[in-house]
Amino acid sequence: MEPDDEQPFTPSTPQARLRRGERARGHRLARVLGADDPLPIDPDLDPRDPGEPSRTHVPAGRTRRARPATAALIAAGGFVGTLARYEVSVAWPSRGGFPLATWVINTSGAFVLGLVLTVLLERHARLSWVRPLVCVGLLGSWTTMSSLALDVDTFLRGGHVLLAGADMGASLLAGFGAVTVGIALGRRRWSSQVVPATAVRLEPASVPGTVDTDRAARL
Amino acid sequence: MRLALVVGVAGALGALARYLVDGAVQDRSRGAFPYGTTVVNVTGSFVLGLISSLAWHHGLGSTARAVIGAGFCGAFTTWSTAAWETVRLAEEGLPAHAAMNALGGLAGALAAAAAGIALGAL
Repeated sequence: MEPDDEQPFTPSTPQARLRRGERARGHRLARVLGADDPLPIDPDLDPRDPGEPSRTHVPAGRTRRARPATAALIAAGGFVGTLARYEVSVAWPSRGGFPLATWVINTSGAFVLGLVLTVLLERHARLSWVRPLVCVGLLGSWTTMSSLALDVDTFLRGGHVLLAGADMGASLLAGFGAVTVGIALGRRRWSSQVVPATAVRLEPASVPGTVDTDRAARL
Repeated sequence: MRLALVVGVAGALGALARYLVDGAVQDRSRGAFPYGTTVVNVTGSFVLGLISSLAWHHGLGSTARAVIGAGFCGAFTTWSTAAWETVRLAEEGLPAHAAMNALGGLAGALAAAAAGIALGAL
């Protein structure tokens, strides 16, 4: 069963309805974050991909994913993300201390993934090319686990246990925090301010001390 | 400049490989746990440990290290995907899965990198 790119993923599909039911009984965190829409668990797979993990996921047999367009988008995003990460890491070496470049790269990538994928799947599901290009390709290549693992291993072997712990802790906390903030921001509906005409009164600048600069700036 | 481009191309291949391996693992797994990402992160960390160790002990060149390590392994492994999955698992009311994805994924990658380092030192 191939994911059909022509049909956008909507919250009314059976998979989505099932997930909503599960979430209603689920963790308090979901309600705090305003989860009223089904985001996938694995962001690298199409949300309708049979391999997408869920409570009801069963082995699907082989799914044909390597369609040329998808592969080209992933490769293009991967090229850019890797190049960017490489240049940043070369320009910003850690010199044996805390690998700040890797931390910044990973945290920023986590945030942007949370934001972009949420906005994409909630409001622009028809833009099916953005996910492989930006989320799988660019952000997946921009961030890295292997560098983190090697750094922590190197610290532990050198006896720098505090540094290893700091790297792990900072990466975990910042990564999850960044994704959480990104998803929450992505879910927010930013409504434009509707200011009734009767409520608006621009204080004349000639009256000292009464100019409401905030209101003037909003209009 | 040309090295950076080669690194980029290796990264393009790494990203594609990650997508295919993730999908292949997910095709063969069941349940809500995202095994695919853990598999790519563990294997990618192993390879990075291996080539780093080969560079330290057996003189593997910096070019190969940049292309395979920073390029391929850096793109093959991913932090953003693992972090997203952990948060989503927690949201879905699966805190044990979330903790396992986070800590198990990191611990697995650490162990794999250490194994790679050990292998390269032989």
